[in-house]
Amino acid sequence: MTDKNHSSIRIYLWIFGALTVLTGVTVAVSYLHLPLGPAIALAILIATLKASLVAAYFMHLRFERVLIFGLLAMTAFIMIILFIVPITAFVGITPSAAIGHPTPIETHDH
Amino acid sequence: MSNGQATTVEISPFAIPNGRLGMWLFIASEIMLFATLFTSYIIYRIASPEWPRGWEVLNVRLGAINTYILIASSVTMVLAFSKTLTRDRKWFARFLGITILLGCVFLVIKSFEYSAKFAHGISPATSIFYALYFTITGLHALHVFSGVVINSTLLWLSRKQWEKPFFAGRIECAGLFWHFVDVVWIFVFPTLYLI
Repeated sequence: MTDKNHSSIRIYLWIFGALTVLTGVTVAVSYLHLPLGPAIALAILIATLKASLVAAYFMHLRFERVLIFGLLAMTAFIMIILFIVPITAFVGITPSAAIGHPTPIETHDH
Repeated sequence: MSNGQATTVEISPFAIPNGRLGMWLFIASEIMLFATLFTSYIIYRIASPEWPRGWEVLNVRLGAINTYILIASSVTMVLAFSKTLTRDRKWFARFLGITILLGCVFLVIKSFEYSAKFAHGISPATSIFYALYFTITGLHALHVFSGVVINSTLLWLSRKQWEKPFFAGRIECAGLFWHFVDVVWIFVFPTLYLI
């Protein structure tokens, strides 16, 4: 019991170290002032990695029942739909609004 | 068997304690809440003719410090939970106390950031970017505050409830909420401050 607990604590501290390093990397990369595309991709990639570490080891998802995985998979699926539908609807259907220049409305003088 | 499986108190039809299932369901709904805010951010950013890069308008150093603070508090939270399983009351109280303290430090730093903005006449009404900044970080700060209140309450209740069989499960659920709050900030920080 003690050994298992000690190994748990050691894992937690390793993950803490990894998260600290990854936070440092994210901040350091931001100082490079990369163009928007690569900056977004890199930031999201590192953030997803950090979040996965927290979820897997601190929230014990690695050892959790399939039921919880199923719940989270369903959540992720619906969330992706909620991301994709509004964004493509906005960008694809209303290009004039997408570039910040709404079409003017004609008025008639009486 | 993992840490979490040792705390079953009641017979649940799902083979997982009701509290833990309930907390995960709640976290799933909160994921939706923050996801819609991120969707709004994406759409508004695409639609705007101009949008500041995060470091131009926000204090990256304070944001990074806050990120580190929340990650450290997540570590102390999970350590507090592991101490409830090994029945080490002294270190449970210390770790939970540090978690609460770090949460308060996060809120203090956030208030410094906000007051600096207000002092420059910047408010949610200033621009879409600031509307999103204040909404997202404000909602997140509200969650941090709730977590601090919950953890403080549990620390107080431990005086009477430490010996009860359900107490470890309570700490576990509070820990799940606290880790979720940390995960949200892990995404909020780069989105607002770094890109």
